[in-house]
Amino acid sequence: MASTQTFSEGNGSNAGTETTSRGEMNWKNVDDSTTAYSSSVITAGNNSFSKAQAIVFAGTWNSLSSLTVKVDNNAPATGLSIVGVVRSASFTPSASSTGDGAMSTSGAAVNFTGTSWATAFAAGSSSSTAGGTLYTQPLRTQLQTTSSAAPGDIASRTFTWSWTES
Amino acid sequence: MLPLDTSIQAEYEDGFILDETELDDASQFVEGKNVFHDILNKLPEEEHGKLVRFTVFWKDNKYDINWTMLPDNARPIRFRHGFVRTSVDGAIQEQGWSGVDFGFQYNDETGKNLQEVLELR
Repeated sequence: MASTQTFSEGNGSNAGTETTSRGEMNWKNVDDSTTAYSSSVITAGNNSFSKAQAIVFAGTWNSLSSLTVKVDNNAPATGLSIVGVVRSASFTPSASSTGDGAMSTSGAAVNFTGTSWATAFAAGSSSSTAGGTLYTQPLRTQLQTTSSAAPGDIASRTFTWSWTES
Repeated sequence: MLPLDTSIQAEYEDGFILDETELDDASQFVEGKNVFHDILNKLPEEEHGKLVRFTVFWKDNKYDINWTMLPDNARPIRFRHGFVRTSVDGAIQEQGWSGVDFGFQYNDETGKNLQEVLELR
């Protein structure tokens, strides 16, 4: 079995409402896990609502360590930038600029935290020998645009999470 | 059943073979742990004797360590390098192993830790 991985998203006040087993992370002009991005578009010059997603480990392992996350391109087109940071404190998603730096393209360190979404926003530790369900610190991302951004869908971007497992 | 990439086998003195793939990587001793945990903590040795072979599988190859040639305090090393790759739109969902580090470590008579690791990619 080894470890298995799913993604959870947090919405609402303090990103406290969890949606498990998320299959996409489209940025959009609303804070939820249900509205299609095409029904809540981001207009040029504005930001998406910030988004919180965390990886959830289950299955079996001896230890997990050295978890990182990166995006393949944080400036994919004119007027577009992808910012992101690994969070140890909760936040309420909004369309205001998060103030975060450019999303890492080399790998930002992520810690292992608790056994539920309620304990995901925490300092955590860089390795864990805990069994069962194990959450990580959530990643906060936001798509920021300027008025020079072209209309229409942007090319999808890819996030890669990597770790070491014994 | 063919061994999965990065999976391990351990053989003991009485011929017993602990195969991670066959056991779906579930510990036979501690719930929630894996087969490597059992080998590392010598859990099968009370019933089956000492470890005599430690093996990893990677890309249709098999790598063996003759454990009888190592000091008594030798410990196995197996670190899998996992990844999940997802596209924002959900079209890509890939999970797998990008490599495995395999080997052993032990402490010499001065207490110094020595290790030999094969980095398979």
